[in-house]
Amino acid sequence: MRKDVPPLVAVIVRNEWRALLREKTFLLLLGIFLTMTFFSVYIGWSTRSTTNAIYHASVAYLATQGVTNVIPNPLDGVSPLLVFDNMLIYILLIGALLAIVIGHRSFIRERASGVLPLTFVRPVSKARYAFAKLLGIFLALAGVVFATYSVSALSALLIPALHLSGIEFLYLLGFYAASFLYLGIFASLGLLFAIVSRNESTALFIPILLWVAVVFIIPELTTGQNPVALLNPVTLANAFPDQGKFFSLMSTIFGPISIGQFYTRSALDLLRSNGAALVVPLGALLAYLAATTGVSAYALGRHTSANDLQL
Amino acid sequence: MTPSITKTEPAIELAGLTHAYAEKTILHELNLVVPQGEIFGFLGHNGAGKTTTISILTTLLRQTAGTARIAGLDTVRDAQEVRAKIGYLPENVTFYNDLTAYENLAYFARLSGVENVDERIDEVLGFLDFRGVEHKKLKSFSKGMRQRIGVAQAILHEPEVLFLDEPTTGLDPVGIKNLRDIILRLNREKGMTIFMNTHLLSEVAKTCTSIGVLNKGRLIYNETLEKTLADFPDEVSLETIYVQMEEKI
Repeated sequence: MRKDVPPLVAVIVRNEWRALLREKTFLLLLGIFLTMTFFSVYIGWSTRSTTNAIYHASVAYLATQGVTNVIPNPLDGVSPLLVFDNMLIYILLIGALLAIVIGHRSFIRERASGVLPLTFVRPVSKARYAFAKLLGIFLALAGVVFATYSVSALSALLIPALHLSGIEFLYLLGFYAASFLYLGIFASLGLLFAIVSRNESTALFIPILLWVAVVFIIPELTTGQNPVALLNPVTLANAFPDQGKFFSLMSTIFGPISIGQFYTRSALDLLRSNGAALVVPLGALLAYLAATTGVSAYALGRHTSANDLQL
Repeated sequence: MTPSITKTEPAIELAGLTHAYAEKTILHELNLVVPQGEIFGFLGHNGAGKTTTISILTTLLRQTAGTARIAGLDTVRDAQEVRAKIGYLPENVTFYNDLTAYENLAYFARLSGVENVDERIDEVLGFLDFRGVEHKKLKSFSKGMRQRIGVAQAILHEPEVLFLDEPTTGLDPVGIKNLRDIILRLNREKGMTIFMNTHLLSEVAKTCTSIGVLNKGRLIYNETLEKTLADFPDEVSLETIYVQMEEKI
């Protein structure tokens, strides 16, 4: 290769970003996502401050009544990172939609603009094209996640009462890394269905349907056995009442594909600064990401059809 | 850069080229040689198989039998090398509409491995007499303007063989004349071999040096324009010659 010519992969990745940054839907969702990130920290901190204030007011009131033997503040032992727990909901909902849009638009843009024939009459192999497209998508997604981390970290620094240690900033970074794995799955699915579906609406509808299943339907079936609402990540006591055989069966069947729960478990553990039980949920997220990425790469490399090439 | 096809190699060579799709044979054993430096007009009805032929020659589609060679290189076995030697302007060429003309051209130039992209784009737009539009988004371009950018993307890497699929479709008379002038200049000044699918027989008469006629996937005629006009001395136009050929089948 000539020295001053950038590698093909870099050319395609750069074009991917340039085109993405001109997509109004993407920019709108990104704006909403980053704004909500900022407010989620404030809301989390505000909620915690209010709870603390109520506790201290209660202790003071009880002291006036002669009660001095009160239970310690339950929030004293809770990781300060849990002020970010609203982000979990935003990532499960808006983040996943944003990821689907990134993956979906990546191929739909090529097909709709009709540039695929102009690309493949050049010395670009389909394998290299597939690699570059996926790299472009994941780097764009990593950029979004890093921007979100930066907003969260900056928000934390702007709230003087919220003191995060260096290790807590690292756990926060870990939380966003886990979020990247979860979002990557949906970006791959967005890309996959954009490739295999001839209809643009169907291509968007199917990954959204899968997202609905992963975030709303499957957790409803599987968490019936252990009724922790997925969208309300609260630590519950250890013992749960028996919910019957149906939910037990559903939990057995759908548990292994409950991607939302794998993400919630790993993300909450990271926000609790607890790395002890991360292997299984993070491993599952990684496995699903590898599987969806592999299938998307295969589809991109092999099934770029004559129709896409306008033949 | 001067085209570097070995003098002995034809620019394009088809041998028994056959393509079938869904049990329907679209191309029937095409045999054709286009010497370098020609402007070859490929004529035929809609559905005759012209676009399929060009798709095989540009490596976008694999034939089911036979061989196609560009400058001596096989379009299947040596696809990457072939791609470095060809330029392609599809019918109804389209681009990234949200990007500017420069951004589109720079992208395709870099994909083709062009060095000094800025200089090359400026040179090509100058050649096409189309400077000053580089920083406008493609969505604001007329059909004629898009076609010029289409030609620009096809010649950025100085291909040896240029494929044009119905290049005059949708152009007004001025656009057609401009494009004809560009094709002639590319052939004369840059030495490019040009393979052009077209319906417009008047354009073929004004532009091409040789013609081939495709009918239902079969090559029914292949001669130089000079010889064609000599073969049909009583006919007043290429159009009447073409009609005669079709009627003979």
